[in-house]
Amino acid sequence: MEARPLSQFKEGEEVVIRGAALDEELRFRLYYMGLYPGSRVKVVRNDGKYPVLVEVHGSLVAISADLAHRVFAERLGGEKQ
Amino acid sequence: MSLSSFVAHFHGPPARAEGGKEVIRVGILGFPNVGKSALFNALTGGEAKVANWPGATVEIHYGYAKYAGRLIEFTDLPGVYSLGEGGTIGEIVKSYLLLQRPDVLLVLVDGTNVERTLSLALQAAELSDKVVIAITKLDLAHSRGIHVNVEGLSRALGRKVVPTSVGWGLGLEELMRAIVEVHESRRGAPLRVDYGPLEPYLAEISSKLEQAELPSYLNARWVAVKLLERDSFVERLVGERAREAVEDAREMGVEVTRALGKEPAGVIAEARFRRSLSIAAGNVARSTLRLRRAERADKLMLDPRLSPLISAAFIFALFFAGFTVNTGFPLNVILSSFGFSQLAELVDKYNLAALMEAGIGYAISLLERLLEDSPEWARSLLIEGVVGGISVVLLFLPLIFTIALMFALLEDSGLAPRFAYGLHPHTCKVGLSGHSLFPAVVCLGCNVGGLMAVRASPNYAERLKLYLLLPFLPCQARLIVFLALAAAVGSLVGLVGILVTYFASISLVALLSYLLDKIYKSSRPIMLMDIPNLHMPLRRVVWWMAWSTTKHFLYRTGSVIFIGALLTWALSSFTPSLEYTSDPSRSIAAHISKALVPLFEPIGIEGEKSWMVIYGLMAGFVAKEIYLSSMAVITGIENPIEAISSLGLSEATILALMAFIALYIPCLGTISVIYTETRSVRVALTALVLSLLTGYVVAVAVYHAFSLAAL
Repeated sequence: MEARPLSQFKEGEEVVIRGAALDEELRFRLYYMGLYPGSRVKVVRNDGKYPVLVEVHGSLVAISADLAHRVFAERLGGEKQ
Repeated sequence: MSLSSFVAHFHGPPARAEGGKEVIRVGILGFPNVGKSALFNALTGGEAKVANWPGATVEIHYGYAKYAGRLIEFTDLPGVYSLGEGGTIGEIVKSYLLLQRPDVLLVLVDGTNVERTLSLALQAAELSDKVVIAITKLDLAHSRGIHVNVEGLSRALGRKVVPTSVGWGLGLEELMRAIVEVHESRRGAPLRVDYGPLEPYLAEISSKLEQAELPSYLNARWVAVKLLERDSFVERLVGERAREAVEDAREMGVEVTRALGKEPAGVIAEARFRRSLSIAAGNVARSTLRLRRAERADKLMLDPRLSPLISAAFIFALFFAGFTVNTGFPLNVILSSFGFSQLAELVDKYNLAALMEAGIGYAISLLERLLEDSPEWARSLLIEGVVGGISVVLLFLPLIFTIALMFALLEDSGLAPRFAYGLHPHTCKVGLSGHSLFPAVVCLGCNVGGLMAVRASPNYAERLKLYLLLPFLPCQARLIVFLALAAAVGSLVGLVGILVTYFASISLVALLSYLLDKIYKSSRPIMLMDIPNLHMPLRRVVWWMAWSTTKHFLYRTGSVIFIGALLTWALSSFTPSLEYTSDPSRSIAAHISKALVPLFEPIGIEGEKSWMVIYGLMAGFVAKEIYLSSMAVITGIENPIEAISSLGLSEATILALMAFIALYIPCLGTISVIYTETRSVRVALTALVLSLLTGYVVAVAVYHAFSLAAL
């Protein structure tokens, strides 16, 4: 399965983070917040222009749309929600 | 900034307190929103001092507690997700931990989310054995049906774990006892986290580091992990002694990324989170409870259709209530424009600022009687200089406290990040993050309070931008001057002038911000933040946060304002040959004003009385309200509107003046607060010059446009 930008996933989808095309400081901060390559997160809200809300290990994290375009993830499991 | 200058610049707590008593120095570390301020406040009894990192606009609180004959000094470090974090915050935390070196590290783990926040406690335990872990928010965890097995956690981490709740007043004694015990215990071993595929590399770097004779507080494995993680602070820290290890680690990092398809920092984060998740899985139990009221409210707050509306409505309502109580504005303006002039007068008379002003007026009249026999210069120094300066500061205080209180409520309840989320896509259009609406709205009432609320923005580049641009937003004091100018020019043209001024100032801020966003990438509004659970703020914590901000304002900003007010008094009370004069037209300020007249000819200020206009603008630098009273003094006409009319200015000139007054630095308080918040003279001066130049250019343009239109 191919990794897609986080901004393209729908609400309720569970995804695995694969990486981020961001500068080092931001990319590492993303890892430290729990969005490291291999981390499982759930997309709670994604309405296009609004920050994407994801649930990471029990916490809610807001990622603005421009950042979410550059964070890559794969959908977990086969079936659609 | 170099490491040594970081240490030199830290005006932190003294290394050892007076009285020869032993001091245990404790650093408090935790994720953002983990309940750090609340616990710090409860431990130190609210008596906090502030340490500063110059140029970083980061304040660090520290305070003391006594326990069993020892003095414990707590330093409240900024919230971080990891010790690997870069940027100013990361550097500050690391230089405290590795250069200042606390005796004991107190790491906070959120009782409502152990699995995620435990990752930082793991890192601390890897660094040092002198670690105590506090589980916070036990009351909230309990109400959510979360049960934490404290003993199990303690076994898994090999460190003392203390359950706490500031709301219930639980665990504070135990925490201090644990700190003393850990401080006095023999050294133990650092915790070992398994980094899987990185282990062979870590072993190699560690053995190189062991030969490098690092200081004893650094264990080789911890340093090896940091080097592989490309932590630039640790690289600089050990670079001189272990250059080879640093270079090897960099090369290995490239190798790992090629071999695993993930960079070491990612692998390290994954290993740590896996360990925290597995520890939490064995020691945290959740019973499902039905949706709580707060969570139902949250569904609305995070709904994209409603969120921006709710956020903006909430912010404007806070603004309206807070300012009306303090200054009568904007309720007075609304009432009088709907014809309820008597009600408006009541609001004008019975607000905090008016009552304080009346009190100060009474004090001054008493003083005048007391000083009847003293020389005129002494009377003027005391009443106009000292008392005048103090009252400028005092009049700000209730307003600053109110704004600080609103700010603390928004932050502590978890509302602030929700507002930022809802507003972000909208404010982004003009290059600002969702954090910037609250300070911007407050600026429409008072720039000083608004600029203090700029702290809400987590991005340093954005904060700088706000400090420079927000003073263009017209505050209520400027509105008073606008109204007088409007009356002087005739009400219809004047009123249109006021509306256009407001519209143009707000547009100018938006335009400049948009342009800066296009030029400087670093200030681009990004958002990457936790949205903590909504909860009832703790009264004690909110009170403490508001009070500490107000106190800070009083001491630091207040003293800058006071000195500025005294200087301005001196300029308008002494002649160039330094003799006291009660005639302002002979003062130094009048001489400067006369010298500046040619500069203001392009906006049509000319003739014999022209310098008076400039004198007023100089006086208006202290506070815009003073512009009117100074016009009255200098022209000898008591009614400020008649005073302005007596200057014989054309309509175009008055409108140009209005533009200039709207844009040049609103008051001494604004410049003082920019300086005290950024600790940078350069930023404060840039704001001053930028505002003067912009005001001047726009005023000239307005004058010429209206002169042409009048032809």
